[in-house]
Amino acid sequence: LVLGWLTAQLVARLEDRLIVTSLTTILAFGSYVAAEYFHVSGVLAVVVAGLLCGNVGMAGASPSTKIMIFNLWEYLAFLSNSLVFLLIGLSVDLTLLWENLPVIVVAVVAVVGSRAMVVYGFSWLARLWGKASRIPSSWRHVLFWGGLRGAISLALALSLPATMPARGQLQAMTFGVVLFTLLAQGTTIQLLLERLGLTERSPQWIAREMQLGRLFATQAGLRRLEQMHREGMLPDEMWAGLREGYRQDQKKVIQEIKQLFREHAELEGEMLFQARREALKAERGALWDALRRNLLSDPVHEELSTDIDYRLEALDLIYSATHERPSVEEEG
Amino acid sequence: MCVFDPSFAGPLNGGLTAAVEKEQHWLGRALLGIAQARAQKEGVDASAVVLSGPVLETIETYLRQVNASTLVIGEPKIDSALSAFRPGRVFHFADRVRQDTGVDVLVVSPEE
Repeated sequence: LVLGWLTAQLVARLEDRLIVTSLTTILAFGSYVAAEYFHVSGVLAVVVAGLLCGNVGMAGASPSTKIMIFNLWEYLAFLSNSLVFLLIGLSVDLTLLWENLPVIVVAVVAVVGSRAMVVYGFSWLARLWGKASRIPSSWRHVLFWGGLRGAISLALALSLPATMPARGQLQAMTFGVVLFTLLAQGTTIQLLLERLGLTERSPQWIAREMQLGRLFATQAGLRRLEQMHREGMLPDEMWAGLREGYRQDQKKVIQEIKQLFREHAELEGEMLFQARREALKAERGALWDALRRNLLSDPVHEELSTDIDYRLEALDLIYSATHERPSVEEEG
Repeated sequence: MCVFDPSFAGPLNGGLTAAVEKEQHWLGRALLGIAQARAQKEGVDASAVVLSGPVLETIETYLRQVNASTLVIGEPKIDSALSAFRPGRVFHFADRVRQDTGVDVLVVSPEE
C-alpha cells in the first residue's frame, strides 16, 4: 500500500515517460521483495500496489505516458501469462490431480458458487442504489461465467512455502480450478455470448462491412490492372475496357454505401468516428517519422504527440457517451 | 447548428477537458460540413455554426442573437445519452424553446 501510494504520487507528478515507466517496474519488483521480507504475500502486494498506482497515479498522467505504460505492461503480462501456463504444463502431475479429484470438485463448486453470490448479490444491491446502476441480466450472466482464473491464482499457489502442510493438495486444487475455468468456462463463453445475443451485429452493420469489403477489393483489382498496364503487360484497349468495368463496379458500390448511410444514420456516425481515429493515428505516425528524420526536436514532438493522444482519449470519451444508452432497461 | 455540452464527461484533468472541447468542435464542424455539402448538392446555400454550452440555453441565446423566426430540429432516430434530442423528448424540448423565445419550432422526421 505504502509503495503503491508513493509511486502513484510520483507518477502523477513526473512528466518523463521513461522515468515513470521505469518506476512502475521498480514498484512491481520492490513491492514483491518488501512483502516477502515482512513474510506477507508478495503476489498480493504487487496486485495492491498496481491497483493503487494504476487508479490514483495514472489518473493524472499524460495520455502519452499512459500509452507507453499500458503497452509495456500488456506485453509483460502476455509474456508472464505464457510462462505461467508453460509452468502449469511442467508442474501438473496428472496422478496428483486424479488423487485429489474430490477436493478439486469442492474447490470448483466453491469458486463458481462464490462468484455467483458476488455477481448476482452485488447486482441486486446496485439495483437498489438506483436505476442508473442497474446491470442487465445478460451482462450479469456473462460476468458470472466469465470469471476465469489464471496467472494470479497459480502464482499464489506456486509461491506457497515448501514446508507448508497440505501444500500439494492446495496446489492440486488451484490447478484443478484453473483448468476447469479454462476448459469449461473459457471454451463456452463465446456460446453464452451468442445465446444472450450480445455478439449479434445488425443486418445494416453487416451490409456496410460487405460494401466496404467490395470497395476495397475493387480498388485493389483496379490498382493491379493499372500496374500491369504500366508494365506493358496489358494492351491499351484491354486496359481501357477493364478499367471501365471496374469503375462501374466502384460507382455502384459507392452508391449503395450512400444509400445505406441515408437509411441508417448510426452507420454514418460510426464511420465518422472511425475515420477521425484513423486520421489522428496517422498524424501521430507522421510526427514520429518527422522526429526520426530530425525535422522535429524532442520537446516539440513530445508536445504535439501529447496533444494528439489527448485528442484520441477525448474521442473515445465522446464515442462512449454517444453509444451509451440513456438508461439500461431490465431484460427481465 | 451543432451545439455540444462539454460537461457531459464530468470532471477531467485540464489537458483532457480542453481536448474534449476541441474534439467536439472538430466533430461538430465535420458533421456540419457533411450537411452543408448535401445541402449544396440540392441547390441550398447553408451556413454553419458550432456552439458550446448547456444545449437549451445556448440554442435560445443564439436564436435571440440572430432574430430567428423558425427553428427546425431533426427528430433523432438514434437514442444516446449524449444527445439532448432523445426520440421521446424532442417535442417537449421544442415546446420549451417555443415558450421561452416565441420562435416557431418545427420537428422534422427523417422520413418526411
